Amino acid sequence: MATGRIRKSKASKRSRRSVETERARSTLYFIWRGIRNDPYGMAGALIILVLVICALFAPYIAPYDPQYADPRLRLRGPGTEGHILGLDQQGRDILSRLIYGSRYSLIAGVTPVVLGGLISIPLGTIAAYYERVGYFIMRSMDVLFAFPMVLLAITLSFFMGPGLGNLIIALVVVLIPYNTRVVYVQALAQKEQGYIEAARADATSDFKILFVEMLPHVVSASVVYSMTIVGTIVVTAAGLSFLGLGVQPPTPEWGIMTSDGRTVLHIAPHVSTLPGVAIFLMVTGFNLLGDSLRDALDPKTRLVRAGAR
Amino acid sequence: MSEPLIKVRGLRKAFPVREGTVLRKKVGEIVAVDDVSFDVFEGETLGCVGGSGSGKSTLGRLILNLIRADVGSVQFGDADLVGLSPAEMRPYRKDLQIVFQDPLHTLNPRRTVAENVTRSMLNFDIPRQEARERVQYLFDIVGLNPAHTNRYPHEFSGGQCQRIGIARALALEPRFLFLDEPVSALDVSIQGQILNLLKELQETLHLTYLFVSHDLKLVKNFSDRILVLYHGRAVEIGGSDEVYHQPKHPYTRTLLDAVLGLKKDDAWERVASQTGVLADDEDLESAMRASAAARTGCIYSGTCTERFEPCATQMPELQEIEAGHAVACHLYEGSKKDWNASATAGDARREREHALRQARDESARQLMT
Repeated sequence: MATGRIRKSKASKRSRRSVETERARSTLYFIWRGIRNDPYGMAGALIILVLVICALFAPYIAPYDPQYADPRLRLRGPGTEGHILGLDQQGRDILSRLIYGSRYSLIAGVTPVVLGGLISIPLGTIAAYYERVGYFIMRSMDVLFAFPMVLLAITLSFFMGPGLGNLIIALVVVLIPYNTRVVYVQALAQKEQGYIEAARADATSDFKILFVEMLPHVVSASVVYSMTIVGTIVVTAAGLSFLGLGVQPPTPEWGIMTSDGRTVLHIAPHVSTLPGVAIFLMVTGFNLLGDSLRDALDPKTRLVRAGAR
Repeated sequence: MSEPLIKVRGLRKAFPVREGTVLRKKVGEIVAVDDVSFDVFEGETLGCVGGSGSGKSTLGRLILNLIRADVGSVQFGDADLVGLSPAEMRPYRKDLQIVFQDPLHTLNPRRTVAENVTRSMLNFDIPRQEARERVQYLFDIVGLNPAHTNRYPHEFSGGQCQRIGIARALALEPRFLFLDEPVSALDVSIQGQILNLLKELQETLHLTYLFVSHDLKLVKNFSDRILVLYHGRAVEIGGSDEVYHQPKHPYTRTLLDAVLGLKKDDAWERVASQTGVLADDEDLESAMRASAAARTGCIYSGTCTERFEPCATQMPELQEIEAGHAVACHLYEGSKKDWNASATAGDARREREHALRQARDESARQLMT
């Protein structure tokens, strides 16, 4: 009894002295602080930033037009005068093509992941919360799972025809079952937590439980997963383009460049490897950023970070 | 004691046991709460004790309509809460609240404690600014620093989290709190603080409590009256001193003997789980068989040391034997002499046990097919 009283009076005294409540911080602040304090996250963010700048300002940055060909300098390696990264089999400047290509690769890699997330997050959350509906949603996902990722994308692109828009739609469809399952599992675990029952005792509507209480947990799981899958999507998009189902040559898309270069791999390996390196860098950038975002979004790891510093 | 705030009548809840993936055929059921009736009076603390799986927590959740009851009624004011849809239940959510067992899990870890506490107020359209101010006030009355409202739950200790859980429950000025083992997850030194806080709040805010615990001593000290549950059935209810010092039901007596004899708090739970149906074999099938047995006779007859003829065939009703003290046991129906005579005859007893076992097996077999 005594201890309780003492604690209470202490608390009220303290509150009188410092009426000012500790400041509430926005999620954006935490994301920024998390990335700033994490060198890997910072590296990832920088890579992505450079790519975005390349994509936005390609005409100003690129030294040549991506389609301009100088047949005399065909297949010259990196270090050729005026062409730092060399030239491809038609004599086009690889650096310029890579810079322009970042546009397509970013769009083809990021858009499906974002769109897929927008669809699978509500889908997976609802599937977890409403058992009966969820049963049908998850079984439909299983049907999509039955097809290998690439095969499904090929089939869809084949029926919809080539083009960047159709490519994105095909990739979204391919991505949904994977992302939905990640969201579903996370939402299922959250559903059993006591705070959901507390929310119901507080007369919270189902909509709010799903999209206010559960969403933060589900989104961070989905964001991390999405970041890792960006790479796979870029590669799949490249593969489709290679098969003539996605973006068409001579568009300077990294996937197309990689596959085009394979015919001259033994004489001029840089033609194929350099776009490959670009894809690798982009994927790495997203992965690093994804890891850092996960930590920044979780209040628990936030504290660990702050304590370590 | 004044008017009953909540009248519970014939409440029953059975959880189906399903098999299969697609059709989910119902293969049986486990009765969590069976035909329970009692009143909770305004301003009192009704303690509820029982072993694991005795339906204590389910009972409270049924009252709050967090779980839907199969049959029965929960009278609160003029309304019967059983069967109300979430929308119809809304106005009563203000008056009926719950404090959970595990304080950390009842707060959303991704939201600040202020967001956790203001949620109910925002649901009832209290302006955000007013809600924020009320959080400061609530933090003060539960003994926390109001400056810390923008922290996250994991930045608080277990005891502090439970205080936040209490603040959350108090946000809408409820009249009734269901305390679901509010201190069992806490350190013994913290337990006292939280219980004292609850007592203080009860006095200042005129609250009515239903306090669930497996710790008999704690319940005795904290409650005005005690309700003893055994496997979903109310076996005894009465003033806490009467139940503690003059227990009537054999089950209550066994529990008390264990606590007093061994002078150890956890003995209560050990005995409770030993006598509980799930203890021998924590397996769905045996629980279902026990549920089936309960339909033919007294649920406690399997373990009771004082059973006699009617126990195997008839479930005793809860009936008042003294003012405010009710027991569900055949021992207290009519004369006690018959029981004494038959209980001493060893052979007859063994025969009865055999018959009882057969009856249970039979009902279990019926259920299985």
